[in-house]
Amino acid sequence: MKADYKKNSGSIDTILLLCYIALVVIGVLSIFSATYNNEFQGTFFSLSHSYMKQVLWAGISFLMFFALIGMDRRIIQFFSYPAYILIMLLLFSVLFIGERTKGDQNWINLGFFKLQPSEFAKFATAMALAAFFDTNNMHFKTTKDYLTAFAIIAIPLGLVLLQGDAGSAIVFLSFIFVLNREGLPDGLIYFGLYVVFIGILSLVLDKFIIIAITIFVFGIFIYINLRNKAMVKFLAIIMFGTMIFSSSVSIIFNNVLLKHQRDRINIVLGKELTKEAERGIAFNLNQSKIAIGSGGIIGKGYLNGTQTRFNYVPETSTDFIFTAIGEEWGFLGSLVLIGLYVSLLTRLIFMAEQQRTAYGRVYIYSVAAIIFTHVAINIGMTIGIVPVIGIPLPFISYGGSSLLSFSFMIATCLKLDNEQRGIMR
Amino acid sequence: MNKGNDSGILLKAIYLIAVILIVRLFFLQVLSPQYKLRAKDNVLKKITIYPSRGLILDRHQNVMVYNEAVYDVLIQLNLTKNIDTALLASLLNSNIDFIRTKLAEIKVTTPNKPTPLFKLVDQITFSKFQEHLFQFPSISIQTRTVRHYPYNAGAAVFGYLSEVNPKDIENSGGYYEMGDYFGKTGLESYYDKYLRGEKGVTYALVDVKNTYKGKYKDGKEDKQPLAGYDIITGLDAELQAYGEKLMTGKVGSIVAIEPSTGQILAYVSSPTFDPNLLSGRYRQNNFNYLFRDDDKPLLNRPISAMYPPGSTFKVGAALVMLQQNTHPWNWSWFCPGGYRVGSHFLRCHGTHAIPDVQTALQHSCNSYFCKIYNDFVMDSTYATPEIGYQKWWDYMFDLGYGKLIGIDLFGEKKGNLPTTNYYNKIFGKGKWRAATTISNAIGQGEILSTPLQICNEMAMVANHGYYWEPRVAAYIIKDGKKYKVKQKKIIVGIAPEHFPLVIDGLEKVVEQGTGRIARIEGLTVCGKTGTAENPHGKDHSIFSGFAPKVNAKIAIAVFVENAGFGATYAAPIASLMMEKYINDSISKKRLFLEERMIKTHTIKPKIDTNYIKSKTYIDSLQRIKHKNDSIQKLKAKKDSTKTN
Repeated sequence: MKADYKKNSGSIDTILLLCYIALVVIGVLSIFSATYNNEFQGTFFSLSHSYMKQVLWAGISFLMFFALIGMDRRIIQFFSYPAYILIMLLLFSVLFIGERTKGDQNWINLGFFKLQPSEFAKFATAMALAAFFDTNNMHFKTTKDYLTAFAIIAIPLGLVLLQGDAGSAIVFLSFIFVLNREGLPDGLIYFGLYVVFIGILSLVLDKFIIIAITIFVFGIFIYINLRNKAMVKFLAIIMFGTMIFSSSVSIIFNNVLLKHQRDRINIVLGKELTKEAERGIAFNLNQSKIAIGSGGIIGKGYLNGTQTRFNYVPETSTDFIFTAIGEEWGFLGSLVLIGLYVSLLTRLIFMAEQQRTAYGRVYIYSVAAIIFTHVAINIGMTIGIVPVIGIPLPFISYGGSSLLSFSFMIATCLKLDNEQRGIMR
Repeated sequence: MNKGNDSGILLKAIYLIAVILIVRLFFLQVLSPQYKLRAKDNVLKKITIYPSRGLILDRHQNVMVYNEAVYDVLIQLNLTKNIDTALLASLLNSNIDFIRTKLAEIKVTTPNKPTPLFKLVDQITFSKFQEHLFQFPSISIQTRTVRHYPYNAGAAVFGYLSEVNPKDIENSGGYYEMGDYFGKTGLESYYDKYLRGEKGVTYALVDVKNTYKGKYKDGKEDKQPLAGYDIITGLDAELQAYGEKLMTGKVGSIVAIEPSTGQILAYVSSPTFDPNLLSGRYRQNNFNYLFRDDDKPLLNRPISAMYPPGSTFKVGAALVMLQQNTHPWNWSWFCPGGYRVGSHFLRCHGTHAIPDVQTALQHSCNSYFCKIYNDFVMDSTYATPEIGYQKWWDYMFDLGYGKLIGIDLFGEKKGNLPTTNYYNKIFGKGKWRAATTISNAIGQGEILSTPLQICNEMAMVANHGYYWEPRVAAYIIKDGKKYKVKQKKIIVGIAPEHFPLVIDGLEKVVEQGTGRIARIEGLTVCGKTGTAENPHGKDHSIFSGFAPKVNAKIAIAVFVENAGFGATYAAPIASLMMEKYINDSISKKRLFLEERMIKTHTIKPKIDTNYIKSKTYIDSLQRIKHKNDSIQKLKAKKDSTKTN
């Protein structure tokens, strides 16, 4: 069959495929370790175990690979907008018929499967964005272009936010990287980072100290650039903007964010917590750190992670699955895992740059950005450098919607790349 | 073809974040060993396995103290939401309010740990509760042991166990932990180090809810508990129980010693109590009642109650006279019915001619002993009476008065043998003479002694001049081997040749003298009655003696408080004890005496209803009944569900 594909298209990228398969296998093993206990219910292969369900989803993903590889890329491209619209409708309907878990209203119960449209919205947005950039005479320079691109991203972001799923909403911000790649100035990203930096600083330090520092630092810059009137004007705006923003951060923090979100940020900032948070989320996070930290260099060995297996860490099969890996495989295991992600991502970016069409480039680049955001936030939160945000670790966390969605992304990327190779030959 | 920025910021961001994550993980996993310890702390639960305490046996290897399983009911509140408090209360013989307050308390303090809800629940209650245990998934059981006393005897000598306090923990060198029980008094306390054994430990893996998940390292680091060493005492269980029976309704003590070994045969402190009362679930309740009792049942009378020895002191006086040779043994004296000291007249029992010291003992003549005391102290060879008195004091101290005999029980009192300094302080140096201290001659006045001292003196007399330090424990059994308890032989400063004379006198006391009631047919009993003057009430009745005359098997001292003459209570009780021990039974002729002793009470009997006794034995019949009951209950339940 493989030879058959070779006739009309190029070869499949083995590096990406191997990285993907390795990650899925690690995922199934980790879910087994996190959920397996000595008192076994039913047989080993019973579908009541989450690891067997994950195997099933992996199988379905594999079938999807064949289906997509056999498909013409134009069909994918053609269906970009309809898929986007369909998923947006689903997202919208979730608001009314969705089921609630842990405060987030993001499931549609299909009986045999709990559909989570926000997972699919990620690649649907990527497809729509890619299709948009693929239109003729698109230079991404006019205000209209900017607004359209932002709108494509903002619609799902807003809908997901309405579901109360702030974690997934943050993922949509990763499209900023794509827009940057397509011409959005770096300055905008740096500006965004600057805002985040000042925001964090305002939460940690007293606002008068920040104002003093701002005046001091900008004073020096202004003094140096005294002759450049435009620069002085620009710096002055930033300075006053910073001062106003930093004084209003605490208002935004206390009024816009929800209590549990505030707690999660406070933990990372090392601020004093309420008793409830101390017992709840802070305890959980601390147990997660203990689990990973206790893994040491080589780990405790597969199925020997006491922290994860005896439920000291919550959600070990889903959001906190990295703790199982960190505890049982140690620093070396974590290094291998991060290495796999880095190779997968760099490979994707390499593939994106090889694409001749804007569609392929934007799409693959979007996929890389989405996966990167997930990995950075997920691992970051388990080791306490990012606030706890409930998003899965791609390919590894237990969950059908998530695995199917990420597999679809990889499969489409492979397909686009595969056709690209065919053209180049 | 490519527009915009080449590969954008994303690639840089990927590398940057990867480095940040790796550095952070390096700190967490490689440079922070504390996380390993904390993970271990999390999952490892140290469970103490209590060793069974050593048994206490009597001289014939009858078990006098053993252990019985009781159960602590522990509850872990985070494992449950609803607890049927009403059912719990009825099953465990408690009330709902108590359980509710206790649960509320645990909810605040230790909801994540198994915490004792009920301590030391007895077997019968527990077996009933056990059938319903499945209804309480949050409840776990910790087996412990409490002491049980099959003879219901020996409360004073065995002592009791009590929960340790921080000071006891310090004294034990960290062996004990909060909540442990240790020997507080008596033998349990003196030999605690041997009886307690060594605690075992097992490490269990627990999950976040503290439920058991298996053994740590397959139990490689576990330690099995080592049972405590058993102790074989010199006590005779039957005699001990018999002594306590004879002392019912009377205040006082009995001490019996085997002269050849110094082992304590019986050790009665009366009023006594069933030692089982201070063991088990209702310990505290019972202790409070015993503590408040006016007759002080918790006082260990044989070693810590002090009485004037009265006439029993004359045995020592006679020995000293012979040793010092102030008078020959057949020195005669006419008793004018008392002894005059200045204006004071010390009364005797009548006027009689006393031909020798034996007769003086036989009739317990006060004036005879006053005279020889006077002659001893005022001997012209001494420069002052003080030197004479010091000499006399040295003899008496040697015989065991005013010092610790050294029994293996804590709390022994010295008694009182007034020193020259004492008299110098009261009367002034050189201003006192024998006449001033004449009550010493007949064991009254300032002289105080414990029943143990009097009994020990008798053992010494029976041995013709030496005694073994008295010991309750005879052997400690360690790993199946008997180890003899250390004991010193004490030789007193009286030459052995003087003893037959005094012993003959003591025999006459029982054969024809004041202690005739103590006579036992076919057995030569030697003894001395005593009546200790008691300024607070009726005199104390005292008897000390030994039997048989040659190769004595038992030396005994009996004190009965506020009971009058030595011959009325103490002598019959002592003789019954001796007869019981030597002949194993009481002759028919003397059964009336036994009955009289048991039935006459000098104090009002206490109403026992305040005490709560734990149920201990569960016999097979009861067990079967329980089983049938529960089967029927289950059937009834099934029927009711069917009809529904």
